[in-house]
Amino acid sequence: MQNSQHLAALPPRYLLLGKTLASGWTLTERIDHTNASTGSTFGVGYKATKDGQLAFVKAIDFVEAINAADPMAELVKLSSIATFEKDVLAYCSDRGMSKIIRYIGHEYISFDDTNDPLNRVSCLIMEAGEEDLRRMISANGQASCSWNIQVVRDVSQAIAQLHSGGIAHHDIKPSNVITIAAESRGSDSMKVGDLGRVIRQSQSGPFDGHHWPGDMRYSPPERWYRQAPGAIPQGWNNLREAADAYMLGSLFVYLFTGSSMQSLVFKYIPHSFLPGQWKGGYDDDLLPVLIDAHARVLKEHLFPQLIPQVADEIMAIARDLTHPNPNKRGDSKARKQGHQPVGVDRIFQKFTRLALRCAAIERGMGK
Amino acid sequence: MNLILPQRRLIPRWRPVAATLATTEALSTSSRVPEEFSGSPDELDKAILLWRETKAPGMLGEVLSFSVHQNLLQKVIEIGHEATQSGAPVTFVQSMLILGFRDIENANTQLGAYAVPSDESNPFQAPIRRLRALLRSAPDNVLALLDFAQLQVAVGKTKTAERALRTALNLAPNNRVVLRTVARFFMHCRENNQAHRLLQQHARTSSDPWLMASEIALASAAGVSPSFLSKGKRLLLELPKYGPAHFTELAGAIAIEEMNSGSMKRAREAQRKALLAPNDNVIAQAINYEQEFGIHLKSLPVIRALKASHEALALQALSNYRPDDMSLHSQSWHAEEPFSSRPIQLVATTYIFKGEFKKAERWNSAGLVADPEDFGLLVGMAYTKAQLGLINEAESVMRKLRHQDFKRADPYCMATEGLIAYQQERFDDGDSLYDKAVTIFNQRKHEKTGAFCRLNQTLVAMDYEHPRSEEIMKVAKLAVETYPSPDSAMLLQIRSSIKVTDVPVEAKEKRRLSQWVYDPATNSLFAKVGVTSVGAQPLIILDRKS
Repeated sequence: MQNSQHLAALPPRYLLLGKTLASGWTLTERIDHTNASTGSTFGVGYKATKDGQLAFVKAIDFVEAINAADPMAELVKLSSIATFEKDVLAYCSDRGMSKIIRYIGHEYISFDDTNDPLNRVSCLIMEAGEEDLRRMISANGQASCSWNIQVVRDVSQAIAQLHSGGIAHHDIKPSNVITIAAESRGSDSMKVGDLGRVIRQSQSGPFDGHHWPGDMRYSPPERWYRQAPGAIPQGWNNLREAADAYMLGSLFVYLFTGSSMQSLVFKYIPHSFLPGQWKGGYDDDLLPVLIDAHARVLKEHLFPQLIPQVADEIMAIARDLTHPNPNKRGDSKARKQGHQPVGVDRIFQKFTRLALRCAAIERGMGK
Repeated sequence: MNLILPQRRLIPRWRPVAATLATTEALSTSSRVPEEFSGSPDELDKAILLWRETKAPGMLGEVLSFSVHQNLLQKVIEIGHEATQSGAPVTFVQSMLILGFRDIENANTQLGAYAVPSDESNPFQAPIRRLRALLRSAPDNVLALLDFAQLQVAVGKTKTAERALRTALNLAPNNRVVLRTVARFFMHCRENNQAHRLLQQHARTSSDPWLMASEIALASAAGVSPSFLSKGKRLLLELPKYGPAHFTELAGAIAIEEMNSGSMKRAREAQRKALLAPNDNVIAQAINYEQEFGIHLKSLPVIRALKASHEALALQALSNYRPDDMSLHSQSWHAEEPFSSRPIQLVATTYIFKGEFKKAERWNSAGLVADPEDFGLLVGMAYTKAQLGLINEAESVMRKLRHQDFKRADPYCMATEGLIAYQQERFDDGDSLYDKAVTIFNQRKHEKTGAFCRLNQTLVAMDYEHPRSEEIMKVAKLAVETYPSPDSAMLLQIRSSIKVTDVPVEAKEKRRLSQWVYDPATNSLFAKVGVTSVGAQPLIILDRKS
C-alpha cells in the first residue's frame, strides 16, 4: 500500500520499468544514481533490451514543468533541452563520430492508457555503456600506463570529433567516460557520453548563456574566477575548445592519480588567490600563481607515476593541456598556426603513438 | 671591526615567493567582491553514497573533487579520513591529498619555502636542483624563476640570475612581484639607475601604491628626484578606500622623503600612516629610524608586524644590545634573503665579537660570494683573516678594499694593520696605526666608529699583552662614554671579563601614534588619532570645568 502511494507520488519518468517502447526496446532496469552519474537534473536512466541488445534510455516528462511557477517558460526550457540533446546525439551519429555514445532513436511513451499528455514521457534511446571510468581506477596502479593512455587517447579522439563538428562538450569528467559492453579493457572501448550540455558553434542552444554549463568541479581555471576582469577569453577556440582541452588534461591526471587536476591544484594555490578570495583580475598577478600550482602538481604527482622512457613527452602534453592561460592552452605547435587552433586532434595523434610505445615498453620491447 | 651596514632604504624585499604570496604585497588593490565558488551539498552526498557502496578509489576521487568548494571542504576531509582509517583502497596521490588538506585549512604554505640551514656547506644546492627540475618541466613558471634567481644570486651567479629574471619579466611584464624583484636585483648589482628606471617608466606604477613606493625609494638610491612623490601623496589620501595595508610602503617611503627634506611634522604623519598596518619591510625601516622619528613602536599592528619580521627583530636586538638575539634573527633573515649581505654581516660581526673567527670567516665568505664588493663584509674579512693569523690573505683583502674605495677603506685597514702590528709585538707601530685610524674617523665626524676603534684596540692590546694597555683602556673608556654606540655596547657585553666601562643607555621621551581620551561627563572612552607631542601620556582624562 505504502509502495503504491509512493509510486503514485513519483513523476511518470520514474514509472517505466517493464514497459516496452514502440520500437521494441523493453526497459529492464532503472539506474538509481543517474543524477549523480551524469549531472542530469531532470532525466531518469533505464537499461533497455531488444533482441539481446542493450541500450540506455533517458526518460523525461513534463509534470514538474506544469507545476512550476511559470509553466510555459519551464515547458519551453525543458523541451528545448530535451530536443537539443536528441539533435546533438543524432548529429554526432550522422557524422560518424565513433567515440561519442551512439544515438539509436527517440519516441514517446505513456505510462498508462489514459492518454493524458502529462503521462507521456520522452525517451531518448542511445548506446548503453558498461561502466564509467570511476569504477575502473584501482588503488595499486594495476592499470598500466598504456591502458591509461589508451583511455585518454579515446577521449581526445571524441573531443577532436566534436570539435571538428563545431561542438564543445564542456562536461568531460570521469563519470561521462563510458566503456562499451563486451569491449571493456580492450582497444577502442571508451566513449564519451552526456551531450546534454554541449555548446554548438553554429547553432544556439539552451546553455549558451550560462556561465559554465558543465560541472564546476571539473571546469578550467578561467571559469573559477568568472567575474574577474580578463577571465573569459574571446573567440571559439579560446573560449570553448580550450576549456575541453583542460578537462581532457584533468581527466588524464585523474587516470594516473585517482584525483582530478583541480582538487590537486587547489592545494597549491595560496589562500588569498583561491576562487572566492581573489579580488583582482585574471591577469599577470594571478596567472603566475596558477601556472606554478599546475606545474607543481604535474611534477610532484603525475611525473612519479609515469614510465621514465615517455615521462618527459607525457609531461609536455599534460602541461599543454592544463595551461591556466586559455589563450595558450592546447597543442603548442597548433597554437602557433594562423587561426591558433587548440589542436586536440594533434594531441590525439600524440596519444596514439604514445599508447603504442607504452605498450611496447611494458612488454619489454620498446625504448 | 664594527658594523658597516649600508643605509637602509625602503626598497622592495626579495623573499622566497611563497613568503611574498602570503603578504598583502602580492594581492590586488581592487575592491571587487569576489564571486562565490560553492558547490552543491546534495551532489556531494550522492557521490559519498556511491563511494560507500563501491569503495572504489575512482569514486573516492569523485568525492575528493568536491574539495575545490570551500563550503564542502570540511565534509570532504571527514570522508578522506574515513577512507584512510577504514582501510578502504586509496591511491597514493589520494592519500597525499587527504594528508595535505590540513595545509589547505591553514592557508597554504607549501609553495616554494626553502628554509636554508645556514651551517651546511652548500645549503642552496638542493633547492636549486629542485627548482631546475621544476623549470625543466615548466619553463614558463615565473614564480619558480624568481626563486631560482634569488638562489643563483646567493651563490654568486648573477648572470644566470639576470637571465632568469629577464625571462620572468618577459613572461609576466605587469606582475607587481616580478617588477619589484627585478628592481631589487638591479639594486643588488648596484645598477641603481636601471632599477629606478624600470619602475619609473612602467605603465602600472602610476596606479599602484606598491610600485610607487619602490620608485620613490629607488630614486633616492639612484640619486634622482622621485617621479611619483606628489602623486603618491595624493594617492595616500585614498587610504581609507583601499585599506592601510596596501599603503604601508608608500607612506613609509614618503615619510623618509619628508624627513630628508626637513619636514619632520609631515614625515611623522606619513610614518603614522605607514604604521597603521606595517609589513616586514616597513617595520624594519621603523626600527632602523626609531630615534629619528621618535615614535613609540607599541601599537598592536606594530607589535604583530615586528614579531613576523626577522630583519626588524635583528635590528631591534642590535639597538637593545642583545648580540645573541641579533645573531639568531639575522640567521632567519638570511634564510629569507640569502643574497643579502646585511644579515650576513650581523651574524659575522657577532662571531667576531665573540672571538669565533673561523665561523665569522665562513659567514663572511658566503656573503662575499653573493656580493664580492660589499664594503662591510670585506672589512670584516680582513679583520677576521688577521685575527686568524692569515696575514697575507688579510693584506690581500685590504689591497682590494683600498683599490675599491681608498678614502673610505684606509682608516679601517689601518686599524687592522694595527692589530697585525700588536700580534707581531710591534706595539709602537700598532699604536701609531690605531691613532691615525681614530684621527681620520673623528675628522670625518664618525666619532662613534672612532670610539669603537679605541675599544677594539684596548681588547687587542690586552689579548697580546701590550705593556701600555692600561693607558689605552683609559683613552677608550673616555671615547666610548662620550660616543656610545650599539657596537661598543655589544662588544663590551660579550667581553664582560674585561671591565672597560658601561655604555650609557639613552632613554629618550617619544611621541605616540594615538591617545585614549576618557570623558567622565559622558563616561566614554575614545581614541584620538594623530602623532602626539613628545612624552604624551597614553590616556588623557578630560576636565570639562577647566
